[in-house]
Amino acid sequence: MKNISCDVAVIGAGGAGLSAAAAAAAAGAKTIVIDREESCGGVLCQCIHNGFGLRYFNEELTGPEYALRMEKCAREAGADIMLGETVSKVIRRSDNTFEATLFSGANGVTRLNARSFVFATGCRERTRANIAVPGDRSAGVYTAGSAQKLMNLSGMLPGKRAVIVGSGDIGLIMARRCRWSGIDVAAVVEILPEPSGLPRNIAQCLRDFDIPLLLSHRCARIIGRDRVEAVEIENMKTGERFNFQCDTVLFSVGLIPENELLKSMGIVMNTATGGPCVDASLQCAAGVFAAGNSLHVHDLVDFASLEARRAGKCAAEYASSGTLPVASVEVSCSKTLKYAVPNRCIPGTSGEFFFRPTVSCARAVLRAMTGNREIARKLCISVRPAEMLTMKLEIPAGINNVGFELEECK
Amino acid sequence: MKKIICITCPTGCEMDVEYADGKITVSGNRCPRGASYAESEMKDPRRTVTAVIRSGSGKFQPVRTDRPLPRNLINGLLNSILKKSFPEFEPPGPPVHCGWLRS
Repeated sequence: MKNISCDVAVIGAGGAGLSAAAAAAAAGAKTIVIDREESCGGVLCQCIHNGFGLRYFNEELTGPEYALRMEKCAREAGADIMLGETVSKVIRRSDNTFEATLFSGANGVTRLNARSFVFATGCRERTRANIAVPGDRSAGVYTAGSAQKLMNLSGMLPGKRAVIVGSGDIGLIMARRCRWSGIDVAAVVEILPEPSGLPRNIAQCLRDFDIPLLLSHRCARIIGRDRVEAVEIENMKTGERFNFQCDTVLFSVGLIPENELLKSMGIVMNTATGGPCVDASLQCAAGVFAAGNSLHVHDLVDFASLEARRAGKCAAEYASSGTLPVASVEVSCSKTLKYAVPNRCIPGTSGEFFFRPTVSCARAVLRAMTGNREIARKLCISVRPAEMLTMKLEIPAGINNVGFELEECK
Repeated sequence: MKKIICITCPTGCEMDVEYADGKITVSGNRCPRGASYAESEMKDPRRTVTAVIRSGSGKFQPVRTDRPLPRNLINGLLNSILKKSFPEFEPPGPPVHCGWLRS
């Protein structure tokens, strides 16, 4: 069995993992990134559309271009990248270092020893089964991402006429991708009264092609003995039902952070994000860090990469010193926010927080409070659940809690 | 007056555009790129196009146009990409250069 060692090991070579690795290596840590795929980039490889990179690289890039750039950043900083290797287990040794078990067809089993770990393992898609859509078990039912992989990496078309369930960005991008590939799109169906994707994707992926967006409608049943023949749609307000003829159904109904390895290590999960609870260093247990979509689902890869820098830098600091500042300030949020990340922060430092609103409004005020005292506020424009909110904050010394509140401006 | 959503960046400003006597007035944009997008959208709408091409070994490679293309030319472009094969292009070769598909 091969035995290798490093200071910082990063699991996942996507937009977050590569960025974390670049930061860790730049801070002087011997860094290794591991990915089970044969190339870097994670889901970016199949996202051939443009629109990435404006925040991180100040330039509009496609997914594969973004992945190439980020891989270059990681390699130039000195990180090693191991591809085609699957991590099956990570355990903490009694001396507080870690041992991971990797396997691949090419190299068999490898033992990887590291002082700290960054988990940037991304998400899986929610499927038809996750939202329990009844009906026939016909062929032609895909998640939007698996259809995207089929079309963009294998050059295959999933069908001839599609209905897209869910108006998340992947579903919207796939509506355009279908139309540009000669596949008809009957409609995009969204159960909520407002779209889940970015406005610009509504504009350039649906309106450009006159694809109907049915809000407050759900997919009630899938019909078709062998292949999909139709879907039954229900109007959530009136209860009225009707059919769309189609041979393909794409589900774009959300993402589930993939944290099986962290769970097996006994790490506490945050039910609001689906990711681990983390402190201001993005640390979920001593020496264990998380970043990117497995921590919480981001709206833009740029933010996942920016956030991951912090995880990489702190993982390097932990690897060299064995300790990080204690995050003693508990973070909470009001009902208008689904969550705040991180969950604990360090008094007397500057911190950056990410939020998901649960409400939509034109203008809102985001306040940071400790007890009844306001310590910061920020005006937010066009607040939507589809978009994250961020706030930078100087955390006063000597406090033990911060509560965030989002209030609509009437 | 027309309402359009700016596609220049993820902010997606909703803009009101007035187009009268060849003169365009834009409001609702939070940066100058919105105004120039609105003007182009009224006079000559363009989009950046992305697709995949088949290389010699049968693998697929992502490509993009190096600039936004007039919307009425997009279907023609996609059809010509679909019909063409690119035997000279072998992954993992260099990224396809801008303008490479013009020949």
